Amino acid sequence: METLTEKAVQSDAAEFPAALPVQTKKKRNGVQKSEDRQLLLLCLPALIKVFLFSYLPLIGLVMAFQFYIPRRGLFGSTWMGFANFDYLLKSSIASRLITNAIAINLLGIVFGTVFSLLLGLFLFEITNKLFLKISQTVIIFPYFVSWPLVGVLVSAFLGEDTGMLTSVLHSMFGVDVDFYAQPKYWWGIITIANVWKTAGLSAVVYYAILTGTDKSTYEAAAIDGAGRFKQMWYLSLPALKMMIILNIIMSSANILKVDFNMVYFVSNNAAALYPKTDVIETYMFRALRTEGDYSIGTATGLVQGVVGLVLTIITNKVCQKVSHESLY
Amino acid sequence: MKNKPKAYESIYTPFESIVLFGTIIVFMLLVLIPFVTLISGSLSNSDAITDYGVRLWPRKFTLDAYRVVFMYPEEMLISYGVSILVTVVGTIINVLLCSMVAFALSRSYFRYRKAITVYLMFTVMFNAGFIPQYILYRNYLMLYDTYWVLILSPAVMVGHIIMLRAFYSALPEELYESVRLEGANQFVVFSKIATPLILPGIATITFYSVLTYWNDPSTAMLYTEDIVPVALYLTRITNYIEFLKYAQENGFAGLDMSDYKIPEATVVYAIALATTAPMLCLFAAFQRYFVRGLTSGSVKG
Repeated sequence: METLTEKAVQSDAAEFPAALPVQTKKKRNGVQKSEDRQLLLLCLPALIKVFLFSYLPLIGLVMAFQFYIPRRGLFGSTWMGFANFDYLLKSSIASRLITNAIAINLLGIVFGTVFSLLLGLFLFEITNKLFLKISQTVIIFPYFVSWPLVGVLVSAFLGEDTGMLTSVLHSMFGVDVDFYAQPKYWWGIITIANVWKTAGLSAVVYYAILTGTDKSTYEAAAIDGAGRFKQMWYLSLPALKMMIILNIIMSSANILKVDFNMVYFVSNNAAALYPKTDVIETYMFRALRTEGDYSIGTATGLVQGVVGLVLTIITNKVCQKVSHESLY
Repeated sequence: MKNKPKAYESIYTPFESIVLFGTIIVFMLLVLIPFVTLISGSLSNSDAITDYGVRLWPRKFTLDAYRVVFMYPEEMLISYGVSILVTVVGTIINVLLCSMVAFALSRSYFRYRKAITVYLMFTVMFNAGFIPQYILYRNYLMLYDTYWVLILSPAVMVGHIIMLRAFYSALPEELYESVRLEGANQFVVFSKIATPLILPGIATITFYSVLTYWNDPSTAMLYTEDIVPVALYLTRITNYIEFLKYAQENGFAGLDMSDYKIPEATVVYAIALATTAPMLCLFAAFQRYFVRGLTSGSVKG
């Protein structure tokens, strides 16, 4: 595997091409123009696809300011001004969706970072090749299964009669818990599923970054008598610091965005759990597929989009300050 | 990784080895136990697990669940067909379009580089959401309930472009300069020179793409009705079983369903395993590329 530092050096070199050989200015301009045209042509199919699928739908955002009736269409529906937003803010919906999104995301960031770091740092200390290979393969495996399958796994543990955990609680402790009717557990359950599915992969990424760092400092530290955990704390962790900070800053830009598949399938879309599991994405989904309440759904999405955009711009500035380089 | 472990590196104090190996092994078990539970559940007798719950070892071993699944395999096979079609065509389109853009964006002399980057990044930062998309696809692009919506909607993933751009940028600039001097066409440079040199990168992105398409239930939930990919087939069955249970308990449309034997949780487990199997094989075969792509992508993101 190529080390990260090598890669970084190479891509730096790519930024500063060797000086162009001497050519007449006119000829170079001609060549440059045709090159630009050819490169633009290469981009064109993707640009068209993005225009059709991502830019055109933006027109539909006017629905947020309408009382949209499908029969009347986008241009025939009644204009409502900000009434939809008023409704969202005055009802308890907005605060519920936002609280849940922030809680689920924060828990995910905190526990995800802690577990993946711990595993990544520990993996780096393992020298047994076979154990390393097996453990890496196992811990990244959950990343490859779909959220619907994770939902089934969760139900195999928490299901009403059949679930392993529920039946153990019942037969050993005489406690009957109907998890799918008790919202209070679900921030935790979703977080466990989230960490279970993604921490292994992040750990392997952290591990890979560590293998690209300079080994000689570790040797020096070992000769000076620093133990394994001291090395971990004073050498490995600082090497990952920037990556961790950037990850956290970037995730905070998406604080209102929750993976729809995760919440929908882990909670099995159980209506009883909405007080703790309903987030903007699932609410929009219901507005579209079951309630037909297009305008309110679009307004919710617009709020999320605008907040996300503002946060992304802010966090990108912060990241630039932190790392002295733009993210994009 | 390529550094040979020094002698002192592989010596652990008992405390160190317990903490290090112990933590990793515990996490491995946490990953594996749910799968073992699922397999054991699918091999159990359905009455036994309703009474006593699933355990790590099958209760009253039986293959009944699999018999039910494979007795009428048509629907599942159709779902498999849908998923394979969508995944193959979608991946080809996605990888082709992404690599074309990534190549162009990796050229420092490309005039529209900045503009196109902003154009693409904006879609990541801000999007219209499900509902305007739904109306556009359904009423104007006529994509509702077609294979094309499943194939095209996820295509051109910006993350893939960024990763591929890093691969193209990592190629030595002299290589490009020499062919530029000869006046080579950029299409030829892209297809004959640059891309063959970054095949590991292409492999990584292909794998990513396959993973995204195969494990994507939400596009189908939103934009199709009759086309059911494998990822959603599982959900449909679960919902169907729940509906039958509800109908049996509460009655539905005056039908007496009390005699009807509903396929139980064990069948759901069996289907869950049957729909995950292909991903398992792919995972085993291509895991290396996946990790490699991840680390290279994180350098220049």
